[in-house]
Amino acid sequence: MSSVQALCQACSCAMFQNIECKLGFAKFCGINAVGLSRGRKSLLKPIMAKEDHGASLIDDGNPKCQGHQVNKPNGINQSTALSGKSLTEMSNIGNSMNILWHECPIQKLDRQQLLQQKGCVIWLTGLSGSGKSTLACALSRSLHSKGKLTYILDGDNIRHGLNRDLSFRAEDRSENIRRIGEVSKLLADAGVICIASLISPYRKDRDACRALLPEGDFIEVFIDVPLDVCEARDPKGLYKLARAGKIKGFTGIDDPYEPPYSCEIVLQQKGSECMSPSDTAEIVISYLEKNGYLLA
Amino acid sequence: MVNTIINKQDRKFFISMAKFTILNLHMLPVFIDVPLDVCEAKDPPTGLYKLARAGKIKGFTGIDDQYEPPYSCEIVIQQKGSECMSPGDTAEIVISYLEKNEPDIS
Repeated sequence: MSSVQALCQACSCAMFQNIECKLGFAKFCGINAVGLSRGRKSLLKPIMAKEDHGASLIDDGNPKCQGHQVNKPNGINQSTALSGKSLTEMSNIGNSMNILWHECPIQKLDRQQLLQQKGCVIWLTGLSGSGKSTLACALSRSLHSKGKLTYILDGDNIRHGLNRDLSFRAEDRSENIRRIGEVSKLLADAGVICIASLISPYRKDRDACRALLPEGDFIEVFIDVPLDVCEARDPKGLYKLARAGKIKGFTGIDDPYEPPYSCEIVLQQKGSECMSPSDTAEIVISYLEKNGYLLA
Repeated sequence: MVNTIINKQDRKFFISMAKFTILNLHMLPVFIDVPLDVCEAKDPPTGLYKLARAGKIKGFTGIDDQYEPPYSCEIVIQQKGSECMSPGDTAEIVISYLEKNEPDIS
């Protein structure tokens, strides 16, 4: 009974005059329920002014009426978008037409101040079986215990959802990395310490991801473990399949891995001696602390 | 915060995907029910309605591609006639809902 009264009181508030709440509103307020019924009927009808159907494309008839044509993202648009400033003209970026970057009132610095950490991307690269996922988890756990917000983007996990339309052809592997790069940029902008864990064997793809972020926000970590050690581990049984010719284009076997020329951190395993996951995580965390990522 | 035009079919897909791939995700549809003529009159700041009416943009939502209002959603923010709520007021409506429905985090 008291809850019913509370709901009625809430409904009588001026702020709620234009609200339909899915809280049993209609059940308890007979008068308003009638109004809502009428409103609901009008809600169900699809809204469209014309009956004409067509593709979502710009008519080529009058170029002057089109937005600013950009055949590919250029420096100006990209840097403007990255800084979060409003564009005075609409852009055509990629396959999207007539889109306008909308500036948000809460910016990256505000979020970093709230979270007391600097958003960044820790990009773990290395052969299959080198320990990327293990390090990602250890790093995430350790940072969490320090009160830092992290998120792991695992290359395989992302293929379950966002990138499930991608195969392992060369173009799709690059697209996989590009999309993970874009998501990691969003997470870093949100103030999250994003830990991307994927082989990413080609320098070109890694460099393209680095270019998405401001200087210093991309921390490349090369887990330098010899191929024979990775193959001996073979945690997912893939090396065995690749050697048997059942998997083609496998990194390290019949597809190359390009070690970074220069990256922020190299975690090198010498011979057979193996650092523990928490030791390697501490190396990364020391880097983060020395460079001011853990205190915004 | 997901800020986009979502039709019914897309929303079903989104919800089903969210249920199976992300644990404890709370999707909170908010329908901003503003009449088409009001939106078109504003036409801010891109002038897209004008272009769509002139046939320069095809398949524009509301003009020659349809928007399907939700059958049921958590919040409807409805504008009646020409009176217009302020962004701060409408934000408070959503925040009030969030506060009243605080999930158990333990």
